[in-house]
Amino acid sequence: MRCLRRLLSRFVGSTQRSNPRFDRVPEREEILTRFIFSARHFSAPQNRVRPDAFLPSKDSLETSVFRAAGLNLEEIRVIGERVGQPANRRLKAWGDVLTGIVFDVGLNVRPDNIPQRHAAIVGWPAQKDEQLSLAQRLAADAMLRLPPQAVTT
Amino acid sequence: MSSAVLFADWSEILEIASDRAISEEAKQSRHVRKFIFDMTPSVSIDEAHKESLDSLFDVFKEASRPNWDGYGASPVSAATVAQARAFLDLLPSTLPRPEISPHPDGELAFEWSFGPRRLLTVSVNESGRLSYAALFGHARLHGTEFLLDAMPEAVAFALRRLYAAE
Repeated sequence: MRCLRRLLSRFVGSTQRSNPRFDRVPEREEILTRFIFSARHFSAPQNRVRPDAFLPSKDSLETSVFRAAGLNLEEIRVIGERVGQPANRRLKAWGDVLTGIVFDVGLNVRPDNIPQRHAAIVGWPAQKDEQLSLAQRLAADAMLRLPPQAVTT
Repeated sequence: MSSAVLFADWSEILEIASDRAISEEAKQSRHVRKFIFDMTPSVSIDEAHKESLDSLFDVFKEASRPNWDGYGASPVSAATVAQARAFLDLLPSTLPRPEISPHPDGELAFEWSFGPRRLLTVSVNESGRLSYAALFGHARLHGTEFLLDAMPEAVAFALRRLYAAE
């Protein structure tokens, strides 16, 4: 896992220099960002995203993600805060996962680009236990990011 | 858990459900708190168990309204809290207490973890269905059971396997 995280760290730099088309399916090395608004969906002491953060919405069976390529951490944080505003939720953290990991567990990415840079992890099974198992695999290779003012309790 | 206790659980839940239509959020929260903490007042509970009940109530407070996660999540219901409480009561006192979290479908989850690649998650819904999944390195285990009078053997097996190497 450390190798994957190092790889992920390296790709942060490479994707920041790239400018992908957000209406196209991301490449394997592109990072997908999941904004987290519940402090229970990550562990700061263990420096990890909990699987709960990647579970799909009940009705759509999709996990909303954001394509952060080319943006710095502060720009990503600002967008995350905006995403949470309609529900009056404060951004607590975000999780970065490589698109290739999503593909490897058997899920797909739909690049709707509405709003800009938005995409969805799709292809989730209907069975809850299968969802949990896939979310665990995504979380195992995800990188936790904490905004400077994050509440981590 | 005896059938008498189960019956009492559901009586309380029905009371909560009927009040929900006419009462304010604070009233429901008070009902759930009473339900969580006063269900078995004559039985002493250890400190760790009490912490779990506190955590359960905190999770309910956070996730009892729609869209609590900012992505359109379903609220956690009083009935789901009741099932979660029943699940907690089945855990041996020697077992480390799990982390409790809400799920976007309104279920409540319990997690035991030794890191991102060695963990067990059990989620419970309002009808007592238990969905579980575990990672043991690259090995995976998942399935569905139902909450009855005792811990389902499949979940107990996953817990034993998780802690076997400790």
